[in-house]
Amino acid sequence: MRWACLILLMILLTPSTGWGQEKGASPGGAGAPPAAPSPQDLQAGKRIYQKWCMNCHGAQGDGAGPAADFLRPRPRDFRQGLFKIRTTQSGQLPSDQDLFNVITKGMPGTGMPGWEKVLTEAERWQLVSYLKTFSRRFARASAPPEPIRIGTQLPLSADSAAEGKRLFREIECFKCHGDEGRGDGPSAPELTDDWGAPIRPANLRKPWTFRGGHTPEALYLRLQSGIAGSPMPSFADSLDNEKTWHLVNYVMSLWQDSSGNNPPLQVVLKARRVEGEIPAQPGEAFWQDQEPFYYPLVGQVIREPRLFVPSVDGVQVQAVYNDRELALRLVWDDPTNSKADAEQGTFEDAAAIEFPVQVPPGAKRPFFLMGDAELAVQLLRWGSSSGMTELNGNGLDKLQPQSESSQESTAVGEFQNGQYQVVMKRPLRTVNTAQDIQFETGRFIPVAFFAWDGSNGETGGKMALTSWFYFFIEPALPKVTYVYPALAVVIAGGLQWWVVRRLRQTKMD
Amino acid sequence: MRPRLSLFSASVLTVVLAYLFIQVVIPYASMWIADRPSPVTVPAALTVIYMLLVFIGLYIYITISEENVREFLQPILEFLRGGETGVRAGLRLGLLALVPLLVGWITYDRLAPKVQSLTGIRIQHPTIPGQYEKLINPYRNPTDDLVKQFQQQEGLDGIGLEEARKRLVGTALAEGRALYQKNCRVCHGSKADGSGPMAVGFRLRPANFRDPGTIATVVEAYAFWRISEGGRGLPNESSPWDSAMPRWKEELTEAEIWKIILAEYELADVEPRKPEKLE
Ligand code: HEC
Ligand code: HEC
Ligand code: HEC
Repeated sequence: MRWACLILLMILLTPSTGWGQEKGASPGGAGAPPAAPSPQDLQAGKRIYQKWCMNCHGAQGDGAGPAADFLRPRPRDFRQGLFKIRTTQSGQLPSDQDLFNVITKGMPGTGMPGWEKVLTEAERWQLVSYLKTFSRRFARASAPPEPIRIGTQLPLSADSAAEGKRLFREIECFKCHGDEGRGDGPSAPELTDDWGAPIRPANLRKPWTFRGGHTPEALYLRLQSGIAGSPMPSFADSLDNEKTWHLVNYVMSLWQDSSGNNPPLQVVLKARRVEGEIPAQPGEAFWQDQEPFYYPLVGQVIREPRLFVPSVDGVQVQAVYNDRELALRLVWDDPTNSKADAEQGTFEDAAAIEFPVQVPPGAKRPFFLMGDAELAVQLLRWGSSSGMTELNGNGLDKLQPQSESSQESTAVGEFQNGQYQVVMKRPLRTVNTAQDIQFETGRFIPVAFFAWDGSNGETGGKMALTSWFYFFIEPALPKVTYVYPALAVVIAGGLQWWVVRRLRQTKMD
Repeated sequence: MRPRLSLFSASVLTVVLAYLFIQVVIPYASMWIADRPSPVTVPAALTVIYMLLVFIGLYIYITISEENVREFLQPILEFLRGGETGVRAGLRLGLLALVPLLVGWITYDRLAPKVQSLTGIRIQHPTIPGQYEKLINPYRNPTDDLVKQFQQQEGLDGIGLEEARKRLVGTALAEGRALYQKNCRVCHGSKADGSGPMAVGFRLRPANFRDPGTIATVVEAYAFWRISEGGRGLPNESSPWDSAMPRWKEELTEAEIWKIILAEYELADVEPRKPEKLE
């Protein structure tokens, strides 16, 4: 019986991932590529392609399927045989395994999903065979492509990263990727890919968007093989094994989290109470000590005008308050500092925080996209040209700035090295109670975030956003919260001591 | 003869089992009975009442005779009256120190400002409005009339009716897949798994059509209603204010929506629920 219980317990405690795992645990799933595809394989590959891939990559593999216009980067045109994620040397075709792996894992930060969960290994191999028929380069190749040899890895260390940083300047990675790696280098705005579409250099501080993944080996391979079809060249000629690892280590040293995964989303944004003045400058050391909360932003694709390719993909928020005012610091990456200019038709960069005007007592609240006819929202919005504005919304097309006299918020914003930092302040309570939210401690207040990148044509309803999350202003703890528990410990302890003593004495008797 | 469990151990066991029953068995049983995607937790207040009943029952049972009381108390008294040294003494000291600390912690927990629970109850599948209830997908088993119309349009007089019907369904499916990738992919994902690139920004996640708890549990008319009216068409108990689901009747024709539905079920690899027989 005991054994049975133990075994049951072990089964219950075994993490579910360990069980029923797919065969082939090596990266991307193992399995040798079929030596020569049979006509049946090609036929099967074509059928799968037509169901799952054609509407992006086009019936002819020309990258012009019906959904292509909604994607940037555009779906790959397979006819040139250019592939970004390779383990093979610069200018060469990918190996079959490379194609299999990219189909399996997808390309993070693009529309290309990974197909591991939906297509079997055999089906993915059939697709590899079929894709190769779109480009004559594969049939013409006389020898298999040569793989890149990854030399002994230099572990990540401060010295190695510093050397990588020097190389980053010396061989001019910064010209595209920017001084701090946020993809804001001087040549970044003009870059186009081999198909003539504008392309952005990767933001090296967001490894979860790297097309080929963010393991050290993946970065090594990208530097050695280059990213075919994109302006990112191969550095095989200028970087030996050691220098390549220094650069890889430098890139990895830029990450906030060494795992390279995107920051976890927190549902509740908490505002902590502080005593005294709150620094208005976003660069003050004070802000380094405040807990950051991260929210991923996505394109507004709910109503026209839609934004299918948003530029800002997340915002970091910190919140504190004192007896008078609430202060929120927003930090987000944007490669260019754009200004509104009616003559040139350019727009400003901006970010906004949204609250319902009335904190709902029940579950009911305004629609997260700028409110609805029945319930209004309030926006605290900072723009790179217009500065701070308070607005009210009863719908996407019913957004109005408040009157001059009711504008009580202030803000200080800075742009540096591809990043905005803005501190917004608003009094906790205002006179205009009909239009302004009155902040109260200890309640869950719906909150949502928006961002606009003017250089990406984002203005009005074309923006990046979140739906409702929660904002919670932590109440200051009254003194009794500590006094009473201490008292309780003493009383309970005393009482217990008395009872036990009595008990032990009665035994003696 | 099997040794009988002491009254004290039996009581403790009863309490533990009752608690597990309330916290584990009932939630999973309700999930199974009510056909919910996740276990249904018992509200805290109800848990307190259930446990109170267990305690009262035990109290009555123990105090039913003098003998029972003595048997119940014996291990406790023995433990408290044990010797001054040894493992038991150490254990006793530890336990005795723990009790006041526990009391202090409970007091603190009571006083500290409570973070209210955020898990509101959301009805995922509210009742379908009457005007949508009886609709059927014209492209799933097209009527002869529709097939003939298709034949005329496409100049397919030469082929038989059944062959034309197959082609009509095939065309509708292909169009549906394309419309799906154009319009729905960003949220519901290319693979119909609810993981499109825009999904991460919405706290109420776009439905994962491969999950047996979404479109597989509803009839096609229901999907038609949801796609036509979007999040704004939901009643309050389904939190329309949190739903990013667009109102597609403003942008897609009815025929297009039916074709998308055909493709949506095919891509998700699930079957729609069969409508009940119409009288
Ligand atoms: C939602 C649209 C979409 C679908 C569906 C899609 N892809 Fe892609 N795919 C893309 C995009 C976009 C890129 C280009 C990304 C880039 O260049 O950074 C791409 C790139 C690729 C590449 C190039 C990889 C490389 O190393 O450069 C391959 C191979 C590929 N896709 C195969 C497939 C296959 C096979 C399927 C079907 C199972 C498929 N794709 C379905 C959007 C899609
Ligand atoms: C001419 C401009 C240019 C230069 C110089 C350049 N890059 Fe890039 N880099 C790019 C572009 C553009 C991309 C994005 C490619 C894409 O999205 O397909 C990129 C992508 C990357 C990536 C992401 C790879 C992935 O899997 O998505 C890394 C890492 C990177 N570059 C590092 C470097 C380093 C280190 C250097 C210097 C040795 C460098 N780059 C030099 C333009 C450049
Ligand atoms: C902006 C993102 C977005 C887009 C685009 C979108 N949806 Fe949705 N959809 C959602 C969200 C979020 C939900 C879950 C909330 C709800 O039920 O309203 C949902 C729910 C649904 C449901 C209800 C599923 C269920 O079981 O309750 C259906 C059906 C559906 N979507 C179909 C579609 C179709 C078809 C399209 C394309 C024509 C589409 N959606 C486009 C966000 C989106």
